[in-house]
Amino acid sequence: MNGWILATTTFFASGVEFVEAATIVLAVGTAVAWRTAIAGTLAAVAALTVLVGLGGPLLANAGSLRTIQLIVGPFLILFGIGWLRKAAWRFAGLKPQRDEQAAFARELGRLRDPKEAGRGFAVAFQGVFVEGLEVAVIVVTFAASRPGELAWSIGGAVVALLAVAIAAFALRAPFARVPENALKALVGVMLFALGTFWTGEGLDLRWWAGDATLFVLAIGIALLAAATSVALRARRAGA
Amino acid sequence: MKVVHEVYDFITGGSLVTPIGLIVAILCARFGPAVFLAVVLATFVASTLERVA
Repeated sequence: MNGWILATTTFFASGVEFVEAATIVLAVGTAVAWRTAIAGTLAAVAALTVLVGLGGPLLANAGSLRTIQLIVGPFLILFGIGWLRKAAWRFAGLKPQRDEQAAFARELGRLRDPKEAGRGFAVAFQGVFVEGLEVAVIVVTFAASRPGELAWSIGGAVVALLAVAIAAFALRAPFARVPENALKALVGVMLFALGTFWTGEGLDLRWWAGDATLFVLAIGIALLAAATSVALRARRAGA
Repeated sequence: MKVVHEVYDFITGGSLVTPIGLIVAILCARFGPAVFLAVVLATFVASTLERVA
């Protein structure tokens, strides 16, 4: 399988999560101190790096490729469905759209509360670590499912991290214009398709078109998600 | 107990339908890829409707 598919998926998944983390880090930098915000961020990135560095090889040696695919595939399906159904709910108006400006203002207010004094490092660390944890799991599972794909998998996440960090440093403001819901839907489709494909391979199923089935799955899942979203929206409008 | 709840939420997004549907899909895989895929896709739709129902 093309490593670019894995790199693209981890790039978008990481990008969306790091945009949310950047809002928290920016709030810490603005309300507390930039040094504290950067220290918390670096500590969280280091913790996530250790997690990927230990988890990747550990999972990769957990058994035969089929066994690993059977462990990893269902996780990716669960994550993919999670991302995709939230996107469908947002499109249908059942869940509010993520507003980075509002999240930034909320976080700023919380950090300026005297009761929260001295928590800047912990808030920055927790923000980056929690948002990055799902990405770390995705990177590790990708790397385990395809021998030799760790570099592609990590590469996509690192490029996203650098892009978001540079943009955040340049703007010094939350990313209000990033189409987060569309990106989350895209990542959901990719995770869901990869998870379904790998679980099938782990179960010894013979996919009709070999590796090319992955693209058919992705298109089919995207169409089904779009139809479900439209139906939910219509139902809500008619209610 | 709270930790278990947090881990469950992290993995499943708080859905009851998704893990059950996934187990059913894996059990049904013996009937071929079409059945497996149909159950997985139905799980997604059911999981999305879970909140609305």
